[in-house]
This record gives sequence, C-alpha cells and structure tokens, in this order.
Amino acid sequence: MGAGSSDRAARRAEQAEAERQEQMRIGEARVNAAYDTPARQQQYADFLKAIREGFMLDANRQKAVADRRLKFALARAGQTRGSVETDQKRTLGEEFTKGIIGSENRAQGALADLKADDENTRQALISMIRSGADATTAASRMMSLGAANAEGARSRALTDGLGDIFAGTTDVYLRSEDAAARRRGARDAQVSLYGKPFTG
Amino acid sequence: MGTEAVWVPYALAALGAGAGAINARNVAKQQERIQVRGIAAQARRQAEADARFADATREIGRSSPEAERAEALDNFTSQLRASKASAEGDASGPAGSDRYQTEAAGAKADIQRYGGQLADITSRINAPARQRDREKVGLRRAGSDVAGIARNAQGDAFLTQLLAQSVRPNTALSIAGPLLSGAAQGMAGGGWGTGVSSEELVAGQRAGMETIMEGLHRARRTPIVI
Repeated sequence: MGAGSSDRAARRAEQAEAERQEQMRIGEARVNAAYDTPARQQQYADFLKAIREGFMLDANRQKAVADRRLKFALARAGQTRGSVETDQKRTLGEEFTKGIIGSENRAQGALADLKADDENTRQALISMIRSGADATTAASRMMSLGAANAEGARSRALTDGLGDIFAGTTDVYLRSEDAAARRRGARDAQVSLYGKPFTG
Repeated sequence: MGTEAVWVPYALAALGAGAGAINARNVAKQQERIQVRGIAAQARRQAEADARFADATREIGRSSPEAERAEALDNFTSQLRASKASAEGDASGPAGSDRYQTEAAGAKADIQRYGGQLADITSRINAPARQRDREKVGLRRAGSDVAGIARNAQGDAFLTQLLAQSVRPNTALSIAGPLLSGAAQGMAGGGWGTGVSSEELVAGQRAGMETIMEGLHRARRTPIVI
C-alpha cells in the first residue's frame, strides 16, 4: 500500500538520477571534445608560431644592429680581420644562440599558460555539469572565471619581449665608444687651452 | 436478541480499522503523486541546465581567434598609417644623389614592411587571449543562467515538500474510523449477541462490585500478625 507508493516515487527518482548521470556523461564528453578539436590544437600551434616569429624578428634586428656596431668598432680600433674580430663574432653568435633558446623557453611558457587557462575553464565547466541544476556554488565559480592565464600568456609573449640579448657582449664596441669619447674630450680640452683644435 | 448477532461488534471494529487504513493509504498515494511530479519537475530543470551548458560548450567548440585577430590587425594597421610620416622621418631638404634616394626609398619600404610584420605577429599573439576573454564571457552568462535555473529548481523542491506535507486525511473517514471502533468496543463490552439481557448484566456487575468492597472492608479490620 504505502510501500508500493513510495516504491513508485523511488523508481522515478532512480530513473531521473540515471538520466542525469547519462546527461552528465554526454556533457563531459562534449566539453572534452570542444577542447580537443583539431581546430583548437591548431590554434595552439599558430600561437606558438606567432610568438616564435615575433622573437625571431626582434632577435634578427638586434643581431643586425650588433653586427653593424661591431663592424664599425673593429674598424675604428684597427682590429678588422684580426683575432679580436673572430673572438667578438664568436661571442656575438653565442649570445644570439642564448637569446634564441631563451626566447623559445619564453614561447613555450606562454603556450603553457594558454593551455592552463583552457584547462581551468574545462575543469570549471565539468564541475558545473557534475553539480547539476542545483549548482549555485559551481555557477558562481563559473561566473568568477578570470582571464589570468590567457592574459599571462599574452603578456609573456608581448609585454616582456625578448629583451636586449647582446647587452653584455659588445666589449669591443663599448671600448671603441669609450676611446672615441676620450678622443673627443682631449680635442675639446685643446680648444679651450690653445684656442684652436689640435689638427695633428 | 440472539447469540447470532455476536459478529456485529467485530464487523464494526473491522470497518473502523479499515477506514483508518484507507485514509492512510490515500494520504500516502497523494504524497507519492506530488513527489513524482516534483521529481519530474526537477528533471525538467536539469534538462534545461544541461541544454544551456550544451550551448555554451558548442560555442567553445566553434570558437576561433580569427575575428579578434582581424580586428586587432585592422587597428594596428590604422595606427601605422596614421604614424607613417613620423616613422619615416623628415623628408625636407636637398634631394641628394640617386643612390641616396634609392636607399631612402628602400628604408621607407623596410619601415613599412617591419610595421606590417609586427602588426601581423602582435595581432596573432593577442588574439587567443582576447578569444578566451570572449569565451569566458559566454561561460559566465551560462553560469548566470544556470544559477537562475537552480533557483527555480530549489523553489520547485520547496513547493513539492510543502504540498506533500499539506496533504490531510479525509475528514469523514477520520471521524468514522474511531466512531466505529468505539461503537464496536461499546457493543462488545455490553455483551452484544451473548443472549444475556442488559438488566441481568447490570445486576451481575453490581453484585460483583459489592463482593469486592466487602472483602476490602474485612481486610482493613484484620490485625497484621507477624
């Protein structure tokens, strides 16, 4: 009598729960499929390619400037085609290589940030689906989804940039600049002492 | 009255008990119907939430950074055009040699090419972050919608509970049950159907009571010997 009635309600509840479990399974599969699409994988590859191109563009420009500075510095110091030139070029090449490795490291970090951002969102979605329609907490988690990682990826790639990869290696160039400055100073001193520049 | 009517109190007792049982069963059945309706309502809300999430998820599956990339590139290119003269430097003064002019034109082209490359790369790096911002806006909207659905589901559940608790037994049956049981007890106690008249029954009960009272009276006067 009473037991039969509650059995029917229990059966209906069981059926509803089974349907919910099935919907949950479908929902989770849908979320995973959305993030595992070849299109999204291609987006990661494109992002990495863009960062690499950006860093290479910067690195090549820095290298061109450094090469030019070194060429003139060596010529000014009379050390063209000498061992100093070979040494300086080797150092420049090593620093360039180091810069490239550093840039690749940064590019991989930016990609990891982007993927981590997607993973966080994927987990938030799955958590929502698992919590069901009574998921007030999960819904608020979804609403508070931040842009931290994606923004970090962008910032790592753009704002931080490649930096000056030849900052500490332009020895000859710097010494040459110093020497030029000393010569200018000596000439200016002669002007004020004797009224005319020393012409040699 | 003959002894053949002895079953009447039993029948009345059975009827009284039956009325109570029918009442209880009806209450349980009605509560169960309300619960089943409540479960179905919850399932509909769940389906609503699932559908909303399915939409949000499909949006992510279709999402591409192309729109953001094109927009960013357009903005960068506009800025490059606006600052072209400043980027190329001052062109006034003597024209210079043919070689100088060729090199100057080459430098200008290099500036433009570099600007184009930089705009293209920057827009491609920016776009995925902007794309994810857009996706999250969509998900936050879905979260807000589902929170609304959840509130409705909670309201439904509360209403179901309230309705189930408010189910009352049938008043007529509630009164009839105890009445019939009482009548049955009364009839059985009154010797219904046993063949003894009510006057004889009362006289017998009175005699019995007198015997009990006399015994008590005697007991009070007897000294206690240890």
